[in-house]
Amino acid sequence: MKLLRSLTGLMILFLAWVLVEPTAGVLLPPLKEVIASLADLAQRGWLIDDVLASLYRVVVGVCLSFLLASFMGFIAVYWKTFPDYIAGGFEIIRPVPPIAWVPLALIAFGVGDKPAIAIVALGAFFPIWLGMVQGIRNVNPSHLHAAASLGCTRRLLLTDIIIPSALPDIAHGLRLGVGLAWFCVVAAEMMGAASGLGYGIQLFSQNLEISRMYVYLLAIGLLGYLSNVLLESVADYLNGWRS
Amino acid sequence: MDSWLKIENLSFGHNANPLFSELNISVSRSFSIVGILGPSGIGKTSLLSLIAGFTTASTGKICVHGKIVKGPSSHRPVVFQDHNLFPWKNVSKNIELGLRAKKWNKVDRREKVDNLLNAMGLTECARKYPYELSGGMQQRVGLARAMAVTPQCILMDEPFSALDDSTRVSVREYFKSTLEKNQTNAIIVTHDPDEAVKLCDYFIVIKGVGDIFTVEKENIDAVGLREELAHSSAMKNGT
Repeated sequence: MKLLRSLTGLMILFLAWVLVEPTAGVLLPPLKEVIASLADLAQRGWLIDDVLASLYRVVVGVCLSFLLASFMGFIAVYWKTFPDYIAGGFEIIRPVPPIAWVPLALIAFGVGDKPAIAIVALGAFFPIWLGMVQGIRNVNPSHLHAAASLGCTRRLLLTDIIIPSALPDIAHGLRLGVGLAWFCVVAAEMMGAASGLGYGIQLFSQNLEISRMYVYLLAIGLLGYLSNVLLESVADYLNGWRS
Repeated sequence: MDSWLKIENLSFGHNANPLFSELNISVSRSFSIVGILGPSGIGKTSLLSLIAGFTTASTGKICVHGKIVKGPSSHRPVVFQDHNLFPWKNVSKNIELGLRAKKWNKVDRREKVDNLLNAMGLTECARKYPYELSGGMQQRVGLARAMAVTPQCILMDEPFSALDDSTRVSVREYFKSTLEKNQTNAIIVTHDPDEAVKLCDYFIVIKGVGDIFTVEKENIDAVGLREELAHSSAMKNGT
């Protein structure tokens, strides 16, 4: 049913496209032209190469963020005020749009995967970290008391009480982080990469290949949507007890 | 006289508003179930938390079965008023956690959990999550979880208050027989004097700071405690 509702929204979007396109001029190419470009780009292998390049950067960047946030979360479990100590510094950095760091990332890492991964990791880190802190703080002290009165060790408290209890907030932070990661990877690739969906958009826009550009825009949207659906399904499975 | 519960010079609470001051209590091994009685908000649950090791006293010490209370321990598991089951674990896993903490192997854990589920009439619910259970069932799971670690003493905070009348009687009877069978002591917080009399054989009665006394079951009517508590309970309920 949920999928059906989502598909309805998609249908409305394409219907609006068809209706608006005749009056939009160069800004919105005909749908059939975009479909033809899609077939062409798929046949040449450019689309899949760029999708894989962006996907690789997003996955690696998000994994790095998650690992760092997990390590810091581990510290926060045993040192309750740790997030407060680093919050001041983080709150200065957090509002800076990740795209503003691209020049520095290019200087530091050169052109290629590394600056894009660094920007993705930076962008995804804050929501993941904040979700983790929220989750740790939301652990019910009564559950910790109950577990301790059953003789649970620190390790069991972590694996069987704190992590499962914090999981809903962690999953929420991760979903926000992945959404931001797609935002960041495109921005980073537009400024300093020789592959990827962002690079393709930049290239096609410079050549005024608008229908090809739309194929890449739709690909980003679709990938972002699919990653959200995937994470939502995993989170629903893990948090089934919240029903 | 040999005591299984000993409270010595216990003080607790804010300086301006202490709950207990220089409290001394000793419970002989001839009494197996102790009730902590008193009106709401007088400090019954605070005393239980101190015995459980969830909170620390300002001064004094508590010994349960000869061990000084320094923190929570599987020798003194707690059955909570609101059950406090782990919502992300099904019934079996809730009961099993204490055994995992004791490093029992998987086969033994499964056998013990199955026995407890069977004894508590929870076999059908083994794979259900707490949100799928009634209040009575949740309370039985809480009890099974505490019993699983074969403790010397179980602490219970208003364990039957959330149950309906018929469930309360059956769970209470089961609980009492289980304790007797396992020779486990219990400390129960309750504000219901009738329930306390049916379960306990010794009482710690809290009326206020410095007005805490102990009484054996045989003497409860002699000191007029039952009527007094029933009256205070009725006053609270406005009946």
